[in-house]
Amino acid sequence: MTVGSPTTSSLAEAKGHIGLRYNCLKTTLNRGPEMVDFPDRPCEGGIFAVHHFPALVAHLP
Amino acid sequence: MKSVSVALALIAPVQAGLRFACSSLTTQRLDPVVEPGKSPSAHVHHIVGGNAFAPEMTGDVGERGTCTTCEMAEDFSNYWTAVLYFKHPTNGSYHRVPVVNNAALAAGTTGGMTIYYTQHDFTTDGLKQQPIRAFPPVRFPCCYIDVPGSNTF
Repeated sequence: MTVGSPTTSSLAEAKGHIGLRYNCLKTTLNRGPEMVDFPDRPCEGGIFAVHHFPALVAHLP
Repeated sequence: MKSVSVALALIAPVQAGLRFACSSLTTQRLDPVVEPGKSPSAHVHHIVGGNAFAPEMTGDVGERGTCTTCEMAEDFSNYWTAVLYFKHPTNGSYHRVPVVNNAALAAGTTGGMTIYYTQHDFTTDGLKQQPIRAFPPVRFPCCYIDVPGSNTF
């Protein structure tokens, strides 16, 4: 099972990969909003990378 | 990969779910799902989980693994992610961004992931249509599952 694509190079493409999102953490408890792209500013609590795999079984192309 | 210890709040009634921490197994240019047998693979990956991880994996990994970096000793699955690099703004050099592990792991642990198995998604309880099965056998090539109705992999 895979999520995202290493060839993604535009925001529009990234929006299509709904399983891959980022949070710019303010603290470990305050994640802030979920973002399509990498944070564009320093994140005091780190970057939280979510790989949300689909629930249904799928075969690779 | 930054991990936090927060209770997962589900809008639908909570009936099942699984959350556990794994420390780093290794960081390698290997990807047995997308590029089986290719060593090195095109991309670097941060890998956690069972000790049967290999450039090419066939059959049931659970039959070959004997230990895991994850908290669940009943399963020897592997999980891997892309590795993030920081590009220096002036000299252009690349630096691997360190991964912060789940705080529940032993003190001194460096790197890892937190794995969630949830219902259909974070806000919908699809258990009646897709009952969760604990650790069904997963056979490579990924992700064939031989348990009909399972929604884990």
